[in-house]
Amino acid sequence: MGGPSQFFRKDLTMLKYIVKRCGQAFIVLIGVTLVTFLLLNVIPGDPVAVMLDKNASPQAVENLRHEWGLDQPLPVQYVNFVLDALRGDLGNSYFEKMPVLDMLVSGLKTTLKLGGLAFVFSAVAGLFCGTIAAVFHGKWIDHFMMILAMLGISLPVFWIAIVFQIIFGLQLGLLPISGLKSWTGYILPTIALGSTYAGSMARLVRTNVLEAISQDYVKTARSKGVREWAVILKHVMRNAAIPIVTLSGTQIKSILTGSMIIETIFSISGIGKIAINAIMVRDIPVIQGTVLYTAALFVLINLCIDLLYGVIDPRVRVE
Amino acid sequence: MLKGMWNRKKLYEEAGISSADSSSLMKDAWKRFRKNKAAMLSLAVICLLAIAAILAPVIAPCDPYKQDVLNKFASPSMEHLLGTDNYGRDIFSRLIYGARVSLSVGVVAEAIAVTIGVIVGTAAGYFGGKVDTVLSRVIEIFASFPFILFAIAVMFILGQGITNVFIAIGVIGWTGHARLIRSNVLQLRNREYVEAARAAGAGNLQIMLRHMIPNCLSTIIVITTLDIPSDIMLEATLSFLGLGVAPPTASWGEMISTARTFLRQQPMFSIYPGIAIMITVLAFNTLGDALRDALDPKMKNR
Amino acid sequence: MTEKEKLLEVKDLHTYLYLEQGISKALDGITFDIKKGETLGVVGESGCGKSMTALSIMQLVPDPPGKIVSGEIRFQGENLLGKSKKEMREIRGSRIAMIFQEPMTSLNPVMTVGKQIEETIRIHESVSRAEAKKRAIDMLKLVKIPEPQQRYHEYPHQLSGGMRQRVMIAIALACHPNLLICDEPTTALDVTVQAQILKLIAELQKKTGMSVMLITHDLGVISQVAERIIIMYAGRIVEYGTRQSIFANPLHPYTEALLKSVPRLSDEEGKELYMIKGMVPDLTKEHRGCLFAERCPYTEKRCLEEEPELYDTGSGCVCCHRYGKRGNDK
Repeated sequence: MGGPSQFFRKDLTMLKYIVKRCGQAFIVLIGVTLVTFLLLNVIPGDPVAVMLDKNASPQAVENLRHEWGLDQPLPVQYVNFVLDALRGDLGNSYFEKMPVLDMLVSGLKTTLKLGGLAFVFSAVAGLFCGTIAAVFHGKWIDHFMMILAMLGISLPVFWIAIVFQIIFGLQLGLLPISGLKSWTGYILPTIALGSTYAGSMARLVRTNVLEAISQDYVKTARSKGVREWAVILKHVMRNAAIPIVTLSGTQIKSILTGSMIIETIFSISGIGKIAINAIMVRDIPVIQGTVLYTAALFVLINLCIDLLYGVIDPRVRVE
Repeated sequence: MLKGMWNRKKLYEEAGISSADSSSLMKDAWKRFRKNKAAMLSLAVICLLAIAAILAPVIAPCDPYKQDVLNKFASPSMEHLLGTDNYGRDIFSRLIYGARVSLSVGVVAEAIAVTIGVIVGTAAGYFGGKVDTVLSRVIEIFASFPFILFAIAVMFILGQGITNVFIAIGVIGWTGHARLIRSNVLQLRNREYVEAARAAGAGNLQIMLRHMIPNCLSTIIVITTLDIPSDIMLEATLSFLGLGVAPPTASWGEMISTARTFLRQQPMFSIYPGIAIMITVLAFNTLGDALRDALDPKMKNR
Repeated sequence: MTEKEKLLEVKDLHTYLYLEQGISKALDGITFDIKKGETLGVVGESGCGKSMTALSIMQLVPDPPGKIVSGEIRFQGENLLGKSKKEMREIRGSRIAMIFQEPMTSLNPVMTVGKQIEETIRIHESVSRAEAKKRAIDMLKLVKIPEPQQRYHEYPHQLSGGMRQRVMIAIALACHPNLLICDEPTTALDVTVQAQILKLIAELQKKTGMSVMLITHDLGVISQVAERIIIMYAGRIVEYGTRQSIFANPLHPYTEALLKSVPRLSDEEGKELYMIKGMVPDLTKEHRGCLFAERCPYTEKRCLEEEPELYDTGSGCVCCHRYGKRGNDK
């Protein structure tokens, strides 16, 4: 297809865009480490004091401080923190007595599995309901879908989870209400987690499809004799997809944070439960690690979304 | 059915309907808003909630903190409309007091978020260039933290209490506002009246205060209304996790959290506060949507 | 009358819009025809029903709120209003094609222009991908786009307004339509580009022998290309005739006013441009008498009470009491 010069030109704008976006993401990443570091350094109470007995000798305290590098000036501590973080060394949990990284990795696996399922659920449900609502704009099915979506948005995730536990677990005894021992264990947390986001997805999809349908190029497509379903799929959906991709980014992030609550409720040992446990017991390295790594993950997700943007919408590359 | 959507404005012209209307923008908006029944209903619900929150001591049938150990998990009765909780406290009264927490979080935390957002967004959009680059990165940095995790971490540092909830939510909730205001101001910056004001010798601050922010007002109103529900939700989540308001203060999130422990004894106990949250959030969301439609029909979902 | 075969005949077409404010008679009984190979100009202010006429022929009237209520649209002898959705779809883009006013927004921003031309071809003809591509590039050549091989891969935002309108024409002509409907094809373009596009359409018409229905509010545009002209006002045809008769001897007061409001080089300096006073009537309201009466300089009592009919003038028709015999018309 096309001459080689054509391809080259096309790739160059895309390449420029990628490089620029990666540069920005890198700066943000540095900012994230700085904020995390500062945040955890203003915590009242000496972490050493938390670790050791109240009546530990001053010498012991001093030793531990030195061991952890806490006697060095803040900028040095920060650089060490970043270097360690880059090496994947986030220290050891005070309580679990294992490397924070190991805890995070195992937790992240579970969280991503659950979050991924919930995202797929919310995206499929949202796209389906939103498109249907837009296509039948103003009809009863539109109103029905939108009421459903509004309910999904307006109910707290944790409450939906509890209601599910009451109905399907306690009353009907159909599904397990805690743990992920079998695949049935995924059902309730996935739906509870996904429903809120399915609601906002459905609303956004509807708005965008309605918006895209009213564009001139849709008129053009119809005047060409394109089939109605092909008009929707080829011309409307791809244009409507642009804001939807952005929402998906926010969505993935919201689902990952929402997962923290769901994990606590369904006793699933994902990263959320680890973080919340760590906060309850003041396990600072673990808190620091989870905050840092989830933020870094979010930066990465944002970057992916922006790059995906560039693929879907050719106008973005040039700017 | 689908064909109906394109280019309504042109259609109206085609139909020979004059769209010229001399009445002012706000009046128009109010007219559109009043037509929207759902919006009026949600406004009424919010007013009702606000009254309940303000007059809680007068309205609540019982003292929300009075324990009655002999009367735990009482079923609904005339005395206790919705029954009692695990300490024998009146659930209905606690719900009413819970509205105080939720609404005050909605108002105060959102005020903090809007203030920061407007300042950062206006500055970034107005000055552009290096200032914009720096501020945009700062916005991105704060937007990179998981909302809940950041709030949890802040609550952990500051400790429980409603003031700290305000801070925790306000300090992270501004990034979306800042982004939107920034892009709004970017568009406004090159308008003629800004040039005119500058030519007339107006300083930067004056232009921002007199021209930029008032012109962003409808955006600000809409995003504020649409953001209040997520603040309320976040407070409920924090309280649910035991990191929100300090007990024994009644908060809907805290009530659900307590109820969770007693799912078997009293399942309905967890249902009521959830419904209270739903009604509040639904009302604000509907109001926000209606305001958006009324004030700026072109503004899409964020 | 029938020197040339009629390609399209529209008879007593009524298209209404069912709006909150009431029923708007966007087209209130219009009748006209287009002959093979000719260019028909349709002129009127915005809101007069020009575009609605085009959309009615294409059967793309937005529904809701629009509906074709009654009438007949005969194209190559077949009544289009009796066609099924599928049959209509097969006609659109292949036998009747349309280009729109806004080249900026009428192309899909996320598809390359080549793909958009190809789409039309592949819908209506069973050709291979490679063949479709070759033809798309040929079309780009036909509409005189430089470097068609490269432009094929470009997106609409990379092209200028004039180029985009050329692409629109390429899409429209890809399947060799018998009728090309141009809805204000040059309104959004610069004056120099306007002339180029009109010239291109005229050239292509000569080459393919298709008929063109050119909708515009700009009499200057019409005077260059149209053989016959229809003047529309408030959902009706108020006058039609040949180009010569319309320009040399306008009969309807509205046509006269339209012609007067075109600026001319021969005008004296400082001469004020003529403006038609008043506003287009609200079509959702019931009307008595002539719809133009409120703005007409020749209004008499009769105009306010009786609706005028189309009177044959020999070289065309006009809808005005001044040309009818008093009393015994019906």
